[in-house]
Amino acid sequence: MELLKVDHVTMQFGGLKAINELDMSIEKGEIHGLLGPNGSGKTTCFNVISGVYQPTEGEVLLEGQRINGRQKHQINELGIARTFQHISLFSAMNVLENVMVGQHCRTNAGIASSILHTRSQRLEERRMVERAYELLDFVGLTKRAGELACNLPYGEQRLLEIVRGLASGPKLLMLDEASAGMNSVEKDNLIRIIHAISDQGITILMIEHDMKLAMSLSDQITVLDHGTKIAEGLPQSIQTNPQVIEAYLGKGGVERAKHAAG
Amino acid sequence: MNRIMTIAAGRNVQRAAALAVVVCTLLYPVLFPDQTYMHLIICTLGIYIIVNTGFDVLFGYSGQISLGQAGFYAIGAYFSAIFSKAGIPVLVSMLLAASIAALVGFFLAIPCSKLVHHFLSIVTIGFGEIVRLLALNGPAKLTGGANGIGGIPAVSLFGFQLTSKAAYLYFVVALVLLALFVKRRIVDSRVGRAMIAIKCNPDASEAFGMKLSKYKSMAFTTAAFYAGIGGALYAHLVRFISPESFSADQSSMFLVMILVGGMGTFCGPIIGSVIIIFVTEVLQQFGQYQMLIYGALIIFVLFFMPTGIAGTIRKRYYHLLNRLPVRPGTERGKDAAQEG
Repeated sequence: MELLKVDHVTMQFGGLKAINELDMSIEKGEIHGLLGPNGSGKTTCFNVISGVYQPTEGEVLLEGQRINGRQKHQINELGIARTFQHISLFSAMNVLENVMVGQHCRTNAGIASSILHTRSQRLEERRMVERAYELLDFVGLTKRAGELACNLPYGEQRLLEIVRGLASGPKLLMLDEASAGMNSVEKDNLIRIIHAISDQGITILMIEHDMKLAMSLSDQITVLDHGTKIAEGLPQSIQTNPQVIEAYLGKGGVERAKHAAG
Repeated sequence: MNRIMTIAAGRNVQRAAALAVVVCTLLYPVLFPDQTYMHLIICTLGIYIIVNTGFDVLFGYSGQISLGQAGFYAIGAYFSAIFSKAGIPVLVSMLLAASIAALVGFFLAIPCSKLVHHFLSIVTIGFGEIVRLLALNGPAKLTGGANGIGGIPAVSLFGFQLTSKAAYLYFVVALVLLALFVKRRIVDSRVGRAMIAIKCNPDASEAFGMKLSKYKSMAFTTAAFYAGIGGALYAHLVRFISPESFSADQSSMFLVMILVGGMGTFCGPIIGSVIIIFVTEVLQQFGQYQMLIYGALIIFVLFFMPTGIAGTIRKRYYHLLNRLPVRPGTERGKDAAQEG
């Protein structure tokens, strides 16, 4: 079943078409890779889906419901969570608090019940703490719970971004270059974590520059170049697609790739 | 220093210290009944702590600067004076006045929640001036113009008139404790965390379900309410108010108190208020050089401790001072669960 549909979306900034008539369909439960050379419109695509930009044309549908035109916080509540290419943690808060803030859209306590410490507020707070610890266990950050987010090593900050995204209970988790800056051990750990998230039934859309990682994880891949979709399909078919190779390696790249492979 | 901080980070040590401060303050008028000037100073200090505690929710936690807090302070003072002179019981008029300040804060937040940094400061400076000019040039029957309002009734509590500064001191201390308690609960909750998150990173906050305008206006309203209570307390303490008490100088004094004390901390507004009041009192003797020394001191503190005194300590000793909520299901968590 289709979870997210990007329907004929064009995103224009002045004279620049960052995305050009993009159609993309993401099935429930799959891991969908979004690839393309630098500047091909991948992050713009994320920004359109998560409501940062309003598309110039076209629609974004989540389970058949139109979400473009809604505010960012509403889109999060509907079940889309994301991580950022440039780490955007709440740096002055500790790791546990970051995960608790992630649960914002699934909790309700207001200012009055917080001042009065009503029973429901206390219970909710306890559930939040419990859930936050569970999620930290899941990625192995529990021992870091009390540290300021900005003091974590880079790889762990990336993991914290993922956990914060998970905390909002998403149907679709969008990872923007989750593996950037990670070493190979951390990448192996990341692969395990992404598989485990997928096993929980959460659909994943990921931008990835590490080809090995993208190819081994993705069920489906969409490739963008200059804002236009140039290929779509299973990882194997993408690897051999001449247009993709050309986009990455330039004209003649196909020949050279064959030569290198041969 | 590390050893001292380890001891100071203990929950019981902190409780004992807080209790000691409160007890000393309460004993002061009993031990020194003649020093009415000191009683007045302590009352003023308490009022500033209340205003700054609320202001910290706005400035320190949600990250919005305001250079117009004296505006809310004035609204609280003027409305409480006018209501109580009209015969409304003083406590009720104080509460009404603070609610009006909060309402004004809420409406001011509608344009303000879209502004940041210097744009926001300019709007809030404008707001503070508007309030002051309204008091100065408004209907003279209500605000008294430049002459202000005199003969403001004293607070009466359970049939007792709190006419002496010593009696008023107890009233102020009680409200300070209440104000600190309420602030603690606000910032240590889902709402408070949302405010901090918005300050750290507005874009990520929005992507995580927080409506910026909602939490920004909540912070504005809270700060305005606190300032309104402070203003009302001031009016019934001095029992005479005039527009010059609510100038832009007053607003910047609140800001300086938070900056020196440490924004976004529990103790910051307290420390800042104490230091600035102490310094102003000590500097009185230097006459015309007063502001020069005052300015130099602020530059000194902010240069060496850009996050203020409490902020610097918190940053340096975060690992000691930060308390994680107990994990439900663990041994300590089980005890907490039974308590709850």
